[in-house]
Amino acid sequence: MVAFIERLSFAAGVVAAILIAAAIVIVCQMVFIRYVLVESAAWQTEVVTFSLVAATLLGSPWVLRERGHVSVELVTAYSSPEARRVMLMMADTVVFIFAAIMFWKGLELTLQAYEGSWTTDSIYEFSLWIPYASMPIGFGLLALQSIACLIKVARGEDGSRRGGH
Amino acid sequence: MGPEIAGLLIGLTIFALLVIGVPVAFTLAITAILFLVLGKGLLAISTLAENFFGGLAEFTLLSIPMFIVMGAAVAASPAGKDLYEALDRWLNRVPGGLIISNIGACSIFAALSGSSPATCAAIGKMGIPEMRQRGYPDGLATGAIAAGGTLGILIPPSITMIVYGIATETSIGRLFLAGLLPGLMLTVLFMTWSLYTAWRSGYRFSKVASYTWGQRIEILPRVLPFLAIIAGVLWVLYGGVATPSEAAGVGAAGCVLLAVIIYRMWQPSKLWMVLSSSMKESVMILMIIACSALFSQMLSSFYITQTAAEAIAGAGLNKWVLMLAINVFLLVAGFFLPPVAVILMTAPILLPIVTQAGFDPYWFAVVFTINMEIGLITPPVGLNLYVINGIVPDVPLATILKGALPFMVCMVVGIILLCIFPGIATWLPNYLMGPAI
Repeated sequence: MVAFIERLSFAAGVVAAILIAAAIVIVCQMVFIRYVLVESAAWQTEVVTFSLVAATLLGSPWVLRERGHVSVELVTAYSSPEARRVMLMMADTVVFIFAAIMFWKGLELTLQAYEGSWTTDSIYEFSLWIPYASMPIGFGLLALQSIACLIKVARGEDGSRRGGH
Repeated sequence: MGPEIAGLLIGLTIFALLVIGVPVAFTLAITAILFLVLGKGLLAISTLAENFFGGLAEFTLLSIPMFIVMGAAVAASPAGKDLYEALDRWLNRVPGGLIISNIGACSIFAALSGSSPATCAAIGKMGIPEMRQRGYPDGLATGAIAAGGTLGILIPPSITMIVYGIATETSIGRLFLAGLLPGLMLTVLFMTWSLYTAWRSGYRFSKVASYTWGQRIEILPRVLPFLAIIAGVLWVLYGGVATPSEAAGVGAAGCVLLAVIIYRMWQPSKLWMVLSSSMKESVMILMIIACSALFSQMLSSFYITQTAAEAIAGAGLNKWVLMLAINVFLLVAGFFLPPVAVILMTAPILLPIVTQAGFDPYWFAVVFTINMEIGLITPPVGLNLYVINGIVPDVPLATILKGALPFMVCMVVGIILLCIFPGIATWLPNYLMGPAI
């Protein structure tokens, strides 16, 4: 179960990394069109902005798994193993609650956008439900991953928290 | 709930969540949701998903992953080694050239990579053993690298400055310019202190390696292209030719290409390492940004930001007393949290207070950042100290800390100089871009 969730998180993380790489390529293409060919390029701005949002949401579960979301580690690091375990389990529960709320809200919004055929304001009229869908997917996975983290902490195999930056 | 009580409760909630180890991003978001629901009812979070999405769907934010990829490509390549060697070969005749080239290499590499620990690792790996071998005291050799590594968050292009710009809606190009001279000032302060300490401890700068001009010129083609990319990115930004995201995107592609061409870093595993580590750091920062957007919306719906700014303005505090209090607060926050997190949590609240007291927002960005730099070399979080401890495990952490202490004093001196001569930060952006509106 835990291993399966972590594999899902990893897969989403790979997609997130690919989205960032794609964004770099698209930005370069846009710069080339705008400043070398001196033509207008507008769809790229929307596409890369949305891929950035999706990358953040899809990458988040993996970053949680690696304990890469920055947190204050001072107190947990100097607490007794038992107190530390309780605190980390509470922390993972908080993450789960947040992810679950956002999953539900994100799903609601995505369905609304899909049923109402909402589009962006630009002339390209991209369907909004596609970028919105990264919220239920990303936060859904984040909720699952927070449960996986919780289980690992409860089993006493959480390892050490890694600091970010 | 009045703004004062709400503010207090919010502060306590955040403290409690951070203490048990909830990541900063989720702490901010869950606090925002909790207080919106408690104070305004469930209806207040009906647009939660739109607000979250809106906080992230900004083209400017794209500059963050782009600059991170740019730095990660440089950090993963042996560019640090070459940069160090280049400076050593060119500066070997200068008295104390070795420590000067170490600090110089730190500041350039820190600017290139944008990462403080990566700089300590890259330059420290060569520099510290070399300095110790040539007789520099352990504390000085390690402290100088620890401090030198922190310069990256001040010298452009700096991710920390971009995040400040996004959090406070100030111009990123202007912030970069504001950080340049103070960054050089700190570099010079660090160098001066190092030379003085080395001299005082009896080191006489006699044992220099010698290099031929051929050796000096031979190394340049491996170093200059990276510097050219940085210069190009900055030039494009200040010329107003392109937006930060565009400049950073091309810079990122450029640095990856250079790493592939110069250092033959074409193996998929290496490129994947650059990409995946960049993804993780970007996600970490962007998640905090999105969540802090929810948080600041909540704060302003309770009129907390406005009330705090008015209360402090109304208290009739001397503006320098206020600035001192803010500095102490930032310093303490920087002891526990990385710069980006501190900025996103506090800058939106502090900036109205600071500007109302008559300080320049760009000047404040520089003072803020130097405070954060100090946090990078102080325990308990001071990541640089641990990175250096990992490179030279035989030097005790206490020696590194003692060696880094004078450099913290240098940074405080830097802040004082900035208070006396604010032009160090504001002159360059005003001269090149015209006065801020």
